[in-house]
Amino acid sequence: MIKLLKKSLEIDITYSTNSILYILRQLPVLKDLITKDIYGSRGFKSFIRVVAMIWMFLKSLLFKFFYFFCIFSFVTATFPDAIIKSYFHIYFVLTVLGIFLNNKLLNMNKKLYISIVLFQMDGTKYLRSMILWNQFLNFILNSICMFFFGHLLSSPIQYSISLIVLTFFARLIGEALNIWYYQKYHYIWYSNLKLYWTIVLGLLAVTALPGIDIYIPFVGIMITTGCFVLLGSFAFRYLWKIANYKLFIHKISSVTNIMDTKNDKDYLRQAMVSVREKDKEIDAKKIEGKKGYDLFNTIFFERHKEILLRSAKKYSVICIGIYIVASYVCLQFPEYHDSMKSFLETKLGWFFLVMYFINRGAIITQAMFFNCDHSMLTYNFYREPNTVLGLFRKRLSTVVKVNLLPAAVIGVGNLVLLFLLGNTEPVTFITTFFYIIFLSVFFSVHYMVIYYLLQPFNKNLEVKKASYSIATFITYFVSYMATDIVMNSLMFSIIGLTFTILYIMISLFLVYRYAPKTFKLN
Amino acid sequence: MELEIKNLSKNYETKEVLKDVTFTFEEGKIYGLLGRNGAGKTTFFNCLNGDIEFDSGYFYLDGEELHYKDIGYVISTPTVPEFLTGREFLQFFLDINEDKIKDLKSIDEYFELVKIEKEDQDILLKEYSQGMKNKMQILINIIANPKVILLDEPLTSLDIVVQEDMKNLFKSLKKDHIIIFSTHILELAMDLCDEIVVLSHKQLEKVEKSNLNTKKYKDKIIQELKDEIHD
Repeated sequence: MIKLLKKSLEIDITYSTNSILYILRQLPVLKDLITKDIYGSRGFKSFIRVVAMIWMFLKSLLFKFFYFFCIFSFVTATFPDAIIKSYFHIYFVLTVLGIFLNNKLLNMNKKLYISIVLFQMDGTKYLRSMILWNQFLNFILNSICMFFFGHLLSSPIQYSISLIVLTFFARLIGEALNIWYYQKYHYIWYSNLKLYWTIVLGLLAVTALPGIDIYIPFVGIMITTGCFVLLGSFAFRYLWKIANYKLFIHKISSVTNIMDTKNDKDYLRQAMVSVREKDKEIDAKKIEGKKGYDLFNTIFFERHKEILLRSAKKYSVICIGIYIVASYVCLQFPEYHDSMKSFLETKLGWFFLVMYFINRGAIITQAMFFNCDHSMLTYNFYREPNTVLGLFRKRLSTVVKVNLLPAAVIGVGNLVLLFLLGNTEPVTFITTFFYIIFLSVFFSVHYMVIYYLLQPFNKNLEVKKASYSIATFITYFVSYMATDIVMNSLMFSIIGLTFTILYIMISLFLVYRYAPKTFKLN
Repeated sequence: MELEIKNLSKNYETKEVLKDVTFTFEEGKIYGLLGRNGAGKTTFFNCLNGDIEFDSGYFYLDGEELHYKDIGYVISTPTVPEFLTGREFLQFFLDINEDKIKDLKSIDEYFELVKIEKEDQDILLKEYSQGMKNKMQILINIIANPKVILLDEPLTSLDIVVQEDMKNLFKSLKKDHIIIFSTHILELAMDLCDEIVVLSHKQLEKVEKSNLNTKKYKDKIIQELKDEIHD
């Protein structure tokens, strides 16, 4: 068992070491210096191996530290009069919640799949070694953090010791309960959503009790700790005797789910752009009389109503709600007039950030690629310049139209507020409104243009081009920095309008010039 | 050694894929499993390997209940730990399973067996081509020496030379194993396999060669497959 644990840790370390080397090999200068042979060499790789080990430990420690820090900051900010009581109350309830949520032994991931299915490790030995290792590591990390924050709070040391013991046994109980449930019902308990939400919401409600000045007394925590020691010992015995762990893992592991998706982030991105069941059927009237790429484009947008039209409508409704509230505030509380007026007249840069978040350009281009272009681009007829540009025009016009809905709401909302605040300058009205509209067009064009010029995705929707990541980061950065600009709204609108119109013209020129060459598969 | 499938049934909601399948596979033979797209070949393998639940049925190996450790399953999309090199993957596998492996060879000998070149042995599996990943997967399953080997389209991504090497490798293994080889390529099945089994009408059926010549045997197999009502 110890040999297996050692081997398992060695695999983890080698995996991390190679991952670090792989990342280094992607960086501009280093990729020329570090060759493929590095994976089989000793010198530099041994150094990175040490770095990987330190990083693995630090990562676990930092994660744990962050968890404690969140509770600490929350209680110091929210319950300044009862910090210690509320700190231990919340930690205690979250630990109990962890019994149900924080289980590792049946939590299917690549490591488990690699160990049990690919390396064909002995299930029982693997299970036992993981129990010992997880308990040991968590005990060390918990103790460090518990004593550190206990010291910061000047809390009695017996509180910290009690909660360290409680956490240690709670984890064993959680793992045992999880496996017991799986053995009995053949599925992992949190697939039962009703039960899941009852437990989660119930315990979260208990976490909030300090809000009404109710705390779990320390004696209650002590008694629970005692019970947990007893139950945890039984749980340990139960876990130690499990004989068919490997079979569970075989059943839970789905080859396609575990290894085919590169990581959770990619999987989530793919799920986000997938076509919803209710959009699969298209109303015949919508496509009546259409043919060729016009039909193709209509079908695409009809099948993506969820991420396009419906989400644009949702944003619009939210914006209408916000403007109704703002208008009410404006009418009822004249004391806020100055700050609202100053915001609308001098801080239009904020709307750059708002429009950045509202625009669906980024996600719709991902949907275009994942659900359409990545297969269509394998056909030569689809790569014809006329087709590329023709479809670009149709798509752009649809994306612009969809995004105009929330933009129009914001534009009109601003005008209503300006009117209520007493600003009736026609020039300000016109420029402010068109500034918002052009911002919306700008973001729609921007995402379409960078998609057509850089086409960064591979078939798993992973971003494979640094230039695309840089472009999206700059977009965010500029949008964020714009919030700092303080300028007369007329001046800002004029500069904004000029900038967006120029950007749109230049980028459309670039697309027409280069997209037939750049829009291709990686 | 015999692998008995008894009354295996598997439904996906209302769709019946396998219906009361009963069949016996024998040691020393390579079985070519043929079936049209969506006929349920992979489902059948997944049931055998214990990866999915099935509605009814039993598997016996020499009269005893089949255990997953008796099975080696080479899937068509190879799965390998991407951030290990070929050598590290193999080394870890041998270290972990050294007690179980009979006739342990050196790592270089294993690489030689599946013709993985020297310069590829120390690069990440992430950078391996599909065919090379496939070879690694086949290699691991061979080293583990399971009694039953399930091969789901394992040769499609390999070049012709390696295909030939792999075919010879499978032939050399068949003496002590039951090998079930799923493929769409009829010529490949006829060339490599000792028996042809079609998955048709939700059942496994052996296509008897009797005294037929190759052409007539081929026609008979195609006819069996054509009879399948396909959706």
